[in-house]
Amino acid sequence: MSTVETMDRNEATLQLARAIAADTKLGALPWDDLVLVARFGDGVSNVNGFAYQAGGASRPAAPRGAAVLDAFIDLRAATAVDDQADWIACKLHVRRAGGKLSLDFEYEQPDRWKISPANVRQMSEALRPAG
Amino acid sequence: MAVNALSSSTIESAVPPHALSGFGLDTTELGDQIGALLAQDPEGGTASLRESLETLPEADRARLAQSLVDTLDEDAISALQATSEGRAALAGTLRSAADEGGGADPRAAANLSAEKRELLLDLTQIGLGVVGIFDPTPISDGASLAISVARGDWFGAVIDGVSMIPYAGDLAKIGKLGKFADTVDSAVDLARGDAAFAEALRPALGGLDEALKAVPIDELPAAVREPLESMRGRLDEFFDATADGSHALDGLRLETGAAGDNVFRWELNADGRPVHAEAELSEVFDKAPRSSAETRAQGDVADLGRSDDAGGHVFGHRFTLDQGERNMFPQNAQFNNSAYRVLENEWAAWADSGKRVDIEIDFRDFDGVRPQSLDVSYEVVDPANGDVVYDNYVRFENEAEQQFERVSTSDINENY
Repeated sequence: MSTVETMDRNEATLQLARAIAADTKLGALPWDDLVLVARFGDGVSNVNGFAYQAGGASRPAAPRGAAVLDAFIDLRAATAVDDQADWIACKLHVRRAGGKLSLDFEYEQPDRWKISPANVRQMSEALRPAG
Repeated sequence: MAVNALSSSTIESAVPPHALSGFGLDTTELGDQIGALLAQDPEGGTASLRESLETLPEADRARLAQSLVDTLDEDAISALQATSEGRAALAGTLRSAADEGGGADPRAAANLSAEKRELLLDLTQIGLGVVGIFDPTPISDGASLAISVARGDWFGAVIDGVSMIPYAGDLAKIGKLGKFADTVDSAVDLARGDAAFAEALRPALGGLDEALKAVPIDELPAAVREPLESMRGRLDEFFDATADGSHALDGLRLETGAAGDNVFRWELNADGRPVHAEAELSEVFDKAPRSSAETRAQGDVADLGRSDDAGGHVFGHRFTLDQGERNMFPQNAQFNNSAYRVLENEWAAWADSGKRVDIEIDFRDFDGVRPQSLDVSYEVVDPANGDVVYDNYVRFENEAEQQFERVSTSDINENY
């Protein structure tokens, strides 16, 4: 991978972190770990996830402003690979302690991390970060 | 069908602490620390201030700057003014404080397209640049320089850098006035029919208007006077509602409504079209009769859009009853009857299960009066304990053939 591609990817990741920090809703929630899932379908895209506190409490969480979804779109462009389809879902995990961020990309299973009203409780546990 | 070489992949990285410092950073305390450091160690305090202004998220930077403006004493300001580094840091502080105190509405700006956000930045920079021509201090150009460099506009930065020396660089800047006038032209043209953009523009254009009022335009040579007069004319056009009020650009009109326990709020542009809407839904009026006036309004709104548009309800009639055109937008008919209907069905199921749905909708990317996309943020609250039980942010294109996953009432009832 070229240096330019790496820089673009890193810049897009940092932009995403900044968008989360600046979001009026996500920025106001108490959390130690934040997990967001962005999914891209035909004409419809969405972001939602969970805010986790160290004591075990969690609540559903989604951004308020457009900047977070826009940043996922930019990240998708920055991680595009020639001759391959773009990823269709991304799971982001931010751990406040140490400022560690990880991103997982899914290229084939759009529902792998899908959070819907029908499964929100199960997904809250399934997506809960370890340790 | 091509098979992707990757089924999934992972990236891990450490985020610089400042990128996440928006979460609970005490900017007042940081401002106090920097102020104290400036008093004891001007060089160290200046470096700390510069670093904070360069690395903090925008919201924290503005709060820190406002805190510093409120607390810096004469000694600290003198320490900053003693060096070029300090003057630039002070300029950045003043610029950020202006953002905090009187900048563009962050929500309005956040919902703009990249092109419009760029225009907004251009206009802020132009206002600072015009002030710099007649400003006996280098402060305004220092702020403009900081914006140029941050945006990678090296040519602009060089020109503004020249005029950091009071008066000496003014002739260089005059070369930019034609470009300034073109930018103002573009912004005012785009603001027509897009009240959200007009609202976001207002603070930047207000700053430019104030700056131009201080310029003795009549005493200037034609090469300078003409672009400035052009800008003034377009600003007058922006700020003065037309005589018949047919296309005023003077911001948004707020309207509220209610139906049973449901409450609504719409922000309407000068054309009466919603650009933002909010609702709290806890009641569904199944099969409520629709008045002929409501049906006529739907037809009128449909006619504003494309041939395949309907007059779609912002919040479905089953939640709002008759609210007229303020609750309608030109909406692709198939989108209205499929993906958006499925979303409304989900809201109705939540309300039927005793929950309250808090919704915010931003209409985006207007083509005339027709939004090309919309962002829907909704949070489901259990009124019994205030807990949020579901939260989602969805972006739709105002087009056909979209899929929004259906969730049945029984799914919701079984889980909640």
